[in-house]
Amino acid sequence: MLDANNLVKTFIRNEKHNTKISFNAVDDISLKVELGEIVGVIGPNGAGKTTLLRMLGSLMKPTSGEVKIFVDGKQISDGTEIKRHIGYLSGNTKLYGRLSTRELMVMAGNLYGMSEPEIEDRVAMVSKILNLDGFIDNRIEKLSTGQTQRASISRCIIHNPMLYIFDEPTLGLDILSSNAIVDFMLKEKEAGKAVLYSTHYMEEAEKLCDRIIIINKGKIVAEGTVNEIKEIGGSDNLREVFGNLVKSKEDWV
Amino acid sequence: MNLKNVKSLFKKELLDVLRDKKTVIMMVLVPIVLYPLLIVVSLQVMSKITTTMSEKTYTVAIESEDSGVISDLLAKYEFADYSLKFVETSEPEKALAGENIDVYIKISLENGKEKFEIYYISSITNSNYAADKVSKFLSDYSSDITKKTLEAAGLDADEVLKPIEVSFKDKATNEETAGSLLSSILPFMLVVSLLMGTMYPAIDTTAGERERGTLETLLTLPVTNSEIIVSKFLVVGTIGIISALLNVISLIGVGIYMYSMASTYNSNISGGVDIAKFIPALLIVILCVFAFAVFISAITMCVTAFAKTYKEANNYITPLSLVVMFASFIGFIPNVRLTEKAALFPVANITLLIRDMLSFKYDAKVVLLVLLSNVLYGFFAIWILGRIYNSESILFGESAAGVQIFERRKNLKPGGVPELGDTILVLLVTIFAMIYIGGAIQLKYEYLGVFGTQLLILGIPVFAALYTKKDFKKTFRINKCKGSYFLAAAFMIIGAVLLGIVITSIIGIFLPESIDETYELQKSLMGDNFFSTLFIVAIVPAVCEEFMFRGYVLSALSDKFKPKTAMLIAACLFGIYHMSLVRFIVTAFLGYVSCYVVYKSKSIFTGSLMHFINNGLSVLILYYPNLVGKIFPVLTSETLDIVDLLFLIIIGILFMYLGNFIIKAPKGKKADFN
Repeated sequence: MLDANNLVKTFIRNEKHNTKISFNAVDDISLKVELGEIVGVIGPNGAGKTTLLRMLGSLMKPTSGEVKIFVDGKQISDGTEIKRHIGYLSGNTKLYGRLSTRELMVMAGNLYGMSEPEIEDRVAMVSKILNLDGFIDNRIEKLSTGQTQRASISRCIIHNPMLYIFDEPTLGLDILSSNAIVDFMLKEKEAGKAVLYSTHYMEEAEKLCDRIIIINKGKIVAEGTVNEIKEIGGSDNLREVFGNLVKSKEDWV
Repeated sequence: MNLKNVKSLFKKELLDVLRDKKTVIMMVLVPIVLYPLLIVVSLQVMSKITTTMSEKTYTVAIESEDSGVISDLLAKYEFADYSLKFVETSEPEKALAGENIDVYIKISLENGKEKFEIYYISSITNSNYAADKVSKFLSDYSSDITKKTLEAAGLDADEVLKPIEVSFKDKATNEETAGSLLSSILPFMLVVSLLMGTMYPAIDTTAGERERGTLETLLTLPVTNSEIIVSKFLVVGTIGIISALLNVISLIGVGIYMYSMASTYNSNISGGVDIAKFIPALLIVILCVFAFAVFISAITMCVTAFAKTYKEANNYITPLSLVVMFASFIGFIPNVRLTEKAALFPVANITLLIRDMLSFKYDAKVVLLVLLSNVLYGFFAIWILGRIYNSESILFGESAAGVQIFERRKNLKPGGVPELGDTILVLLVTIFAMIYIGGAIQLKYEYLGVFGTQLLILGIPVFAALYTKKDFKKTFRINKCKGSYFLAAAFMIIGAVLLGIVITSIIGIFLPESIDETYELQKSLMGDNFFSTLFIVAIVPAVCEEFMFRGYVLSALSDKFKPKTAMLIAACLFGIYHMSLVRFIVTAFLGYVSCYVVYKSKSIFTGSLMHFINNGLSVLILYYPNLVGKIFPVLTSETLDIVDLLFLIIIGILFMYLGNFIIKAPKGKKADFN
């Protein structure tokens, strides 16, 4: 579904006042996500997770390397076209507070190129899946945190994409809200879709992911199934594995 | 660009903006409720004050050594007719200071003549009015005496006092009077209301969107940057136009109210105003509103797009709105005429044009020039906006337009190139210094003044760079470079000059006056002799203007934008700096070529050489037209035919190609002529 090769992203960081340092936030990362699997990206703060996912979602252009997706056997590499087939959600993708959830979905549907009746059907369906009925016509700024989260998901699934990219979707949510998202990802996986997501929470990753990619300082430190990762890290506890891998990496840098 | 996408984005933005209380208050409440209310209330208060003033009687004391004079006056005149009331007081001076009386008269005899001194306090309104009444009374008293004297001499007083008869007849039609009244307030009102109307939506759709984090959501959707920008621009422009039109409607409403009030009180105003006569003028005014909406929404968005937060955007927009209001005041200055040059001056051109339209002065060419230049500036700003939305470092970065010049110097770390915010400030300060200081010293010292203006253009960026402790060599590109680059620079500029002649003559076909303008400009540059002119016109700008545009400005821009974008913006700024629309294309083109060579050679000196060759050539033609004409006839001939033009194009491109070939030649190969 998703195939990214040798992605590099160079930033120029403004140090205090005048000095500028050029560094690679993402440094030569290649990865694949297939239909019907959930891939987790794990890394400490500043490891380059968000930058990586932004490039995969075509929000940013890579300095070098390329992102391709395959839909019905056809290869797509144009950024705007790629966005059509992705549902992208992150802590930074906030919603228009002065619009209602329904207006938001209709707007997104229009931009994804759906027809009016298509949008109408899909809004009804999404509203049922996410249980939006009580607040679908309220202004988003008036909603509770959990409702806002559901509105956020509704926005990125309105076009029924085959690939989801979620950047720390459960960060800062209570257990009920984060469970809703976890359940949603599992359901979509069962429906044969591809999910790529980044997280801080080891337990969540262990429970959800078919494969895990650990990155640190813009590079892949380890990748594989949960069991393979545990083997590489030399521990049965994913939290310890993460500590070992990231630390050992830091040692030889 | 997909129009369907623009439509849905437009709908979304409009809904979002219209549901924002601040925008609605600024757009609807202020023009429809606040202005009329303020005007009507202040009018009523004024008329109330005037009536009480006229109905009031003022107290007056009279001081005289001869008390008979006082009783004489009181007996002969009814003081109440003059709204005066006589009071007796022993110490009139004290009474006046204590406001017990409004005014007092001191009568004395001097050489047998009665002398009246009126004492009043000008800072007290009542005392002022009282003095007025007293003066009226005394003037009647004086003419009564004159009359008596004349009659005693056996003359007809009326005939002697009024030997001729004078009366004024206003030949202005009611429409012209109404137009001139409207033109004194409408232009300023329109400019300010458009500015106010666009300000909040501009902030809201750019910085506000980024602050609320919805920008990233927008970027996950399959829309292109141009679709996003166009839709945002359309929304800001629409809101601006709506608020301007609401302002006009409410202004006209207030005008009708005032007119009807005036005609009930004053029977002198007779006959109605024929609205039909205003229709052509109003149509052009509406066109002006549209053109200015394009300009002002693009400019405000361009400024606010650099900001990360609402507050930051507010900080950027405040100086901009001050500049805009200041420029629109030009419409208030009588005798400032809308010339072709003034037509290119943003904001002022719109106020002047609206003023002229309402005074029924039409000049189709100037109208077109004003509308066109506004739209053109607007599109340039939109283009920059597009670059901003293409720049990830601005969209996702920390802060885009840093301003360091107001920071304490000891907190600044040395090194680097100027920030964008500082550059904008430096450009603005330079333009103001050029117009005000430069203009003044050029009037006074003429040629030396031109030199002084150039020193300002050099001094301001150099000071800014030194103050913010920038890497001086890097900012101004003071680097040695290979001799081959100088050769390339010479080839490039000669090619560019030849192509410039082609552009100028093509523009000359459409705007014949442009040739005169170029000629006038060259004439005005002529100094005492060849060498002094060469120094002022060719050598000085080759240093000063290069430091500014190919040094400071280009360095700051290339730090934030891609090289091509940076060079194009720098070139356009260079074109604008020359303040002439007809020469804009040529100067911007020459500017781009210089930017390119300086960027490639990494040295300001190539730019200086090019600038010197270009300007020096003009000076040479100015002083030795025959000599130049003999060697290169095309440079001096007045009219060029198609063969000449083709020849120039071919030779020009050939030279530029050669120059570029030398620039691009691999190092150490034969291209190195050093």
